[in-house]
Amino acid sequence: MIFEPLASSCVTSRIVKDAARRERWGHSASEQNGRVIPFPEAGGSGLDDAAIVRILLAGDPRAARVVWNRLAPMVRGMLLRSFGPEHDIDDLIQEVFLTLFKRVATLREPQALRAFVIAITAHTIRREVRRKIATRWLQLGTTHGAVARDADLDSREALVRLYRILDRLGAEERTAFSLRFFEGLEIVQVARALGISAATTKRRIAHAWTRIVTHAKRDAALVEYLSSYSPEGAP
Amino acid sequence: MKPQEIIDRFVHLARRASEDSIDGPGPAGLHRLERALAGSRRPRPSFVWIGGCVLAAALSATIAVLLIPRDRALTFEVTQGCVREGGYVVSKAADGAVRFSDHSDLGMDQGTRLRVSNVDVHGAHLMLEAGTLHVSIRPRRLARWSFDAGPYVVHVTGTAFDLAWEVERQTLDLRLHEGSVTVEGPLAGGDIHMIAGDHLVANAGDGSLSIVDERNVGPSQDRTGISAVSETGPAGPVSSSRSTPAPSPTRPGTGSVFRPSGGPWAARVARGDFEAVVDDARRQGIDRVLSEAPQADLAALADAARYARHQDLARRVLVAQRARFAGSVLAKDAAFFLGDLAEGRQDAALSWYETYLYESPDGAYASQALGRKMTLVQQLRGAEAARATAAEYLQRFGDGPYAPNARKLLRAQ
Repeated sequence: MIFEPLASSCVTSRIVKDAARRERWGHSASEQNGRVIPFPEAGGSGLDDAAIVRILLAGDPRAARVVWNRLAPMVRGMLLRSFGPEHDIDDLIQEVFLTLFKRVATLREPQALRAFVIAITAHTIRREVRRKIATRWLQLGTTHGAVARDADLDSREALVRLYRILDRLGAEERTAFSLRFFEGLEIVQVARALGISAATTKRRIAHAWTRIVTHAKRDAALVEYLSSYSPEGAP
Repeated sequence: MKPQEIIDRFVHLARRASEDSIDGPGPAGLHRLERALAGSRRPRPSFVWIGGCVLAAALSATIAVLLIPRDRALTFEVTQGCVREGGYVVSKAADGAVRFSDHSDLGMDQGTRLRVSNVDVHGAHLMLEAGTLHVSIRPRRLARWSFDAGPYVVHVTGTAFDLAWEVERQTLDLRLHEGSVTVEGPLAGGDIHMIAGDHLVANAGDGSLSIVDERNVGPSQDRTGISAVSETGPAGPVSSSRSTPAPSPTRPGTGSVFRPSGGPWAARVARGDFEAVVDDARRQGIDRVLSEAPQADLAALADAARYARHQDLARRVLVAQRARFAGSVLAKDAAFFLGDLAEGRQDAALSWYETYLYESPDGAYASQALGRKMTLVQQLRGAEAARATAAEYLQRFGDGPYAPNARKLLRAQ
């Protein structure tokens, strides 16, 4: 059993992990001036979605780690692709997982955990886009364009321009577009994630498509870059 | 390029960028989640505390709303004249003036009578009853000004001109010094779009109209002025100063006034009809278009040619734009686009970007021009030579798209 100081750090995390190896997981006792954090040895990689939902519902102390290991890469990828590599998505990832913990009791089919998390992420994306639009509208601050790291200058600039075009879309259109094209979901899956009909989804995606293409075509440099861009490698 | 290809490549680029991002959802995020979950299991704060927070938030929001600067309607003051009820202004001296809060200015000759109405955040509606106005409208985004003179209406966005209306002779006299305006009224052939240098005299009684081009045509320029600027690179920053005006031939009536078919080109470009605009220009004759088209149409044609990848035509149009409308914002912007079009000729591209930065240090494309200049200098003269530009870029556009590259350049020092 170990105690985590309130001001924790990565070092603390390692100490916690080492101590937990000795203690085994499953403890939940607490003592004065500290919290007991049991650190599970196993990542829950052998569990299926239904089993994960069961430990979530049971308030099992392994739940956070298991869910994180299983779903955080997917959530992070979705958010990254929706907002661009330079958008700060750490808070959004936390928001998605906190919502999952809060709403997991409403999940009717435990096997549909992944779809449930996709829906939560989609709503988080939509809310964040609305927040960005509202921020721009209120002129309370500037929203900076996305800038890719570790990419050559041309692709970075192209990415900036493309995400600026995305910034012109409404929250509904942008989210639908992201799910359909960035994540490769089918129309029905996008509709389910957004809680709208397939027809509405198609309409929003078509609208987003048209606007993106129109705006992109107005940018000669961007068109030029995309024309020479080869998906197999850098242009 | 097909729409499908644009989307496919955009998606691929976004996916590749997300894959390239090295930071995974690491243990710090998990740790934070665990702490948040532990915190959420603690006793919830009392309703009194929540109520206090809500109240504080509401108060903050109210203060924020009150403090956000909002556009207000323009105000104006009159010198050397008198103002009567309803914004009726009469100039009592030769130097009478109406000055607006956005620094737009109307000089009035003695005895000029003017009514100022519908003053809002974007401009005003002015009715010239009689006399002569010397108008200088400050160019602003969404600016909306209009001047009634007898049966004519002059629509303005940002420009300088002299406007006179003689009641007895029913004659409108409009001499445009800068920018462009559109004149509505009983004109043969519809509205007239005027550009800097045009002098219009219209008579509402007999419907006669003449437009004289008073643009400066210097000895080194032909009618289009193309010879003054080389397509391979700028000869030097274009000055807006004018020498003694040399009137060019009168346009004999509206028949010879350039008018794009199928509506204004700018609107068609906005709809994505790039090829149609280029075709229309070719039908009318490129030389004629370059020498006669108003600035707005020329700019639209340049855009259409660029978007439709007719790069030679785009270059010609941009060069003509710079020569004919030297000193205007669009002419200055043309330098940036010419740099963009100078692909494969890095020296020429660099020269155009430097020209743009010289002419428009705070222009809309200054960030991109400076970033590209930095890249080109690095490619042409090496990293050492590019560092000064990198430092300037970071100082001016610290979070711009070229900032990471600029930092890399400076770090490598």
